Amino acid sequence: MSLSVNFMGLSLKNPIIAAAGPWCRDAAAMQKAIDAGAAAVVTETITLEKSHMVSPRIFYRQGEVYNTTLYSTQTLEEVEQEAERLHKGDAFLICNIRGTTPSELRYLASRMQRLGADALELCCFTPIGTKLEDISIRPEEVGEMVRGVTSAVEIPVMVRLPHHAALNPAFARQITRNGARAISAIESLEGINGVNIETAHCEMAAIGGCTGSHLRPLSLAATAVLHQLTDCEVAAMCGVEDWHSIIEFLMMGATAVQMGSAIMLRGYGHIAETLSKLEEWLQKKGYESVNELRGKALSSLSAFEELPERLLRVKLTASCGGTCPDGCTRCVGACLYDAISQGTEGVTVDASACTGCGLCVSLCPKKLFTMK
Amino acid sequence: MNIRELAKEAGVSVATISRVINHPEAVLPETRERVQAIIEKYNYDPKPVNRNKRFVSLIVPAAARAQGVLLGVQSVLAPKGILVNLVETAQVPGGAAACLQAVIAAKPIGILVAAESTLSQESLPTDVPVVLLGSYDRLENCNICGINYRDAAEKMLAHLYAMGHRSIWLLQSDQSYPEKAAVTAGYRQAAAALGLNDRRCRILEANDSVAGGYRTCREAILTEEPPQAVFAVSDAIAMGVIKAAREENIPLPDGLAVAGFTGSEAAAVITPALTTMEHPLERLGAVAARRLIELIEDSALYQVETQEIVLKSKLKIRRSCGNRKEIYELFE
Repeated sequence: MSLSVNFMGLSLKNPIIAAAGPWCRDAAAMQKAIDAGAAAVVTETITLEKSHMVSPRIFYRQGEVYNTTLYSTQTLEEVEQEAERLHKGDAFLICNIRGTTPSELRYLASRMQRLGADALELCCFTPIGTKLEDISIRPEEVGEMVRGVTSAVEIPVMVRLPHHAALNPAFARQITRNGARAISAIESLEGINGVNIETAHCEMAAIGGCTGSHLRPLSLAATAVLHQLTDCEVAAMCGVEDWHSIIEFLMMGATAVQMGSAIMLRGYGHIAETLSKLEEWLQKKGYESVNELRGKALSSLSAFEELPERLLRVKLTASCGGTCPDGCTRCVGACLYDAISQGTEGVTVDASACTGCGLCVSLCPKKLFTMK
Repeated sequence: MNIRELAKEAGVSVATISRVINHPEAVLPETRERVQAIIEKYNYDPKPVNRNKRFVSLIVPAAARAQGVLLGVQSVLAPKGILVNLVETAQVPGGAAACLQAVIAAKPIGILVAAESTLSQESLPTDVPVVLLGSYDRLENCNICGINYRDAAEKMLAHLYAMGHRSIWLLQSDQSYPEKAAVTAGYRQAAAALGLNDRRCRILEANDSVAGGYRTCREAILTEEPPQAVFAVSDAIAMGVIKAAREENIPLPDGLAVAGFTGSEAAAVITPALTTMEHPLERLGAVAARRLIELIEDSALYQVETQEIVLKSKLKIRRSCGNRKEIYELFE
């Protein structure tokens, strides 16, 4: 059974890439990710001038992570020194770069190639700082930036996109046309973790990048859309939590995945654990290669317009008996069509009123509804 | 054997080979030994830069305006033990060309020339690496790092327009400075694109100081038909305008919107907080110094490509032009 994938021409020993972020802030941190089995590591975002750190900057709330680390606090010279310390072994080093103009990026890209980067990740958008300028970047401008980078280096280039750009065909076209090999999506979303209503203060002093498993539905959809829009390979990110979610992303068409805050929350060992569980599942299911998973679930996904008009109706399973002993009546309250009611003999379904929306099926804690 | 093949053989990057040759002290000992062994094995004979001469000359039109650039240059050169020799052209007879001649005679390892659009191709030395800072349309095959001031001026005018202002005067400096033409061109270009006619878009000049802005505002702006907005090319001029307007009890920004352009620290603390432009001067100095180091150290090892690097400025939207939303102040 083989976990190796070919991504942007790099032969990765498995599909897990440690994403750009504070968990990859220097050589020692990246080394931990490599030693734990990551097939590639992405540096924290490198720019022409180092950033500063605010405090506090990383917040956690029920599975959600908010991060206001803008980019690397190392100078370009320090980054070069760090790269020298890294023992890559059979893993790859991907440098994440950010700049304001194509020529600036061109320069950064050539410097990164010179320090031994195996690939580049171009960061045109960031959820933190300079926000309003970023969101107005046009696809053509992104295209020029990509061209600036791809024309300067021989190593492969991927482009990181936020949700709104990943779903926009114009961006995918510009990125492909200008020579990028892959798209990583989605960038963390702009978020604020709440407002203290007693003090009327935001819980964070600046908008941060929000990630977590609750955002996985967005990145799963973006992965599927990108797979349709472009010939670029996709490295899925945002909500890459464990072996199960990795399989989901691969089945939606991703070639590789970028794991970020899950490493931070569970430690570098989580990479090794995830890999072993991934391998175990593949073996159990009789797969010979992880490549067999790629896009496997896409055939079950249709465009809305293509979905057949077909009326299904719900019914209660025979084992139900119609009454929930704990007095649960969520299905009754939730049915918009008044098809579910509670009489003296318990919950009943009026099949003639049911329009087959299906909500009760997923809502019922005891899974007592089926559709036919 | 070239440096790329050498790097591959040693299992290191091109940057590491360059560092082993030029800055062996900054390389991990085991890496250094491995690379040196390979260099010896293949009789690779690179010439490290002369270590006795360790200074770079930075030629600027006005030292007072060069602080940001100098900081950036120093951030790259100081850790390498390279001293920076600052040369101001303003008072020197013969200007930049004469300064350049004198600097070449002192034999620095490299020269940074900031924003002198009067330089000719012939005046540039061929035997010492040079990086030009600024905008040089007429020069070819030069390494240039600059900021797109034209784009910055366009952005500022577009912002003033978006705030509802339709008569917007440019308050230029009465002295010459390297970005002057680009700022005026950007202002004109954006005004034309927005359909503002000449009467609504006058260009006045003031001495580049608080006092200069104050005087020009009293004498030429607060007349019978003042503009809705003044776009001053420096924060100092803008603050002079604010002072004059306040003396006349003109409400700011409703009676007169004022924008600066030089991103001063004081802009954030005056009332109303001044909308201005932040120019990446430190980044400019740093990238120019990096290019220079590459030319000095790497051109002996391999062909270093000529590059022109353009950086972009950022609009700092505060309160002096009509903005009332916190989000702009927070996030630009």
